[in-house]
Amino acid sequence: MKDVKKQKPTTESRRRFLSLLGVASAAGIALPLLPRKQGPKELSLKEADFYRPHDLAG
Amino acid sequence: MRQVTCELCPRGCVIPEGGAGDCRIRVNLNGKLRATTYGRPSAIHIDPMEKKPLYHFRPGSPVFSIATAGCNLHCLNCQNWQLSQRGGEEMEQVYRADPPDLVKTAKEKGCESIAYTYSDPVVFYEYVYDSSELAHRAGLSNVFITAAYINQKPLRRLCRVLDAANVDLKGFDDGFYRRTTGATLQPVLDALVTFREEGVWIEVTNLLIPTLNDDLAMIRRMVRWIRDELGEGTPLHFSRFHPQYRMRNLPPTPSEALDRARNEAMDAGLKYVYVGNVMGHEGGSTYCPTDGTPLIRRAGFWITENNLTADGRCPTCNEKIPGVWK
Repeated sequence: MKDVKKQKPTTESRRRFLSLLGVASAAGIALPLLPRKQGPKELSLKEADFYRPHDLAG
Repeated sequence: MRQVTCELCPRGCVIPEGGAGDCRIRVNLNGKLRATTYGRPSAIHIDPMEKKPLYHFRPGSPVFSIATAGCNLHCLNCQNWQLSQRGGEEMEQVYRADPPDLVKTAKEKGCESIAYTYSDPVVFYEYVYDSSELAHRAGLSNVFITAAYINQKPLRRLCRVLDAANVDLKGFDDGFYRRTTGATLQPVLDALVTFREEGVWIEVTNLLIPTLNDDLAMIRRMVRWIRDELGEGTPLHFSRFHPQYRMRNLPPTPSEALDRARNEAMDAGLKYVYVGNVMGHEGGSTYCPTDGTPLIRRAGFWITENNLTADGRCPTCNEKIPGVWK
């Protein structure tokens, strides 16, 4: 039986691991930048045109 | 308490912080008045222009018609009370449509105009104004169906972007106005004159309610005022009342009362007097005032025959019929 723990990674497996890591990192950066389907947009309340502060008498 | 005074309509509501005006939809939030139904219509339909009713403005054309909740009148006989006598938060249905969305959809649906209607568009003034500006840029007309209970300053500004208005002149007596609608007569008359001065095409509707505003003497005063202040070519629509909302105790207007009112108006010199809400009535069609030639025949809201020339003249005597025909 081989001792797995003592087995050193080959150059090819290291390269495969690094490329997978690169792809995952790139996806992590790119995904938030991709256009997403917008949910319902909350509209702000429009300020009315014709009004003034009311001065209290007295 | 940062109270504000709304200066849009003659009510001049003084609104405490957190409160709403009489119209229910103009709300004081932190000392600023907010138009809470802006971009939030609760009714959107495509109607024929005749339903507004506008009989001398782009006849037969489809009109993209919108309304939000709220109204600054409280008519006991309101036919759209589920919409008008509520605030926006009480509506089952609220759409989201900013002015560009409205204009885009109206164009896509093949409409030539946008109507601000059903409730009273005075109360969603900012939404009307912004939508109308965009609509004009897109080649659409704007029509305003209103009781015209609005102050002069906002009205003058609004007229810049309106093309036509149908004004519901509910009666010709201030007491009737106060008792039945909660509004007053004089600001409505002032608004009608302003529409004329500003070059907005106007038609007038008067709903005849049995025993309340069908007195012939009152009608005579009203039609003479229309003739003298707005012109004899102003279309006037006498409309039939149906019992509803808080006025179910009165019967529908008898056809004879509508005929009497129409005859009174024509005797006073008004040239285009119509009868509405009565299927098949001859008063639903347009006739040449000079030789009586039928110009536009209607069945309900639908045009069955249009004999007007392309430039709006009688084909028999060439009389120019006032209106916007293209």
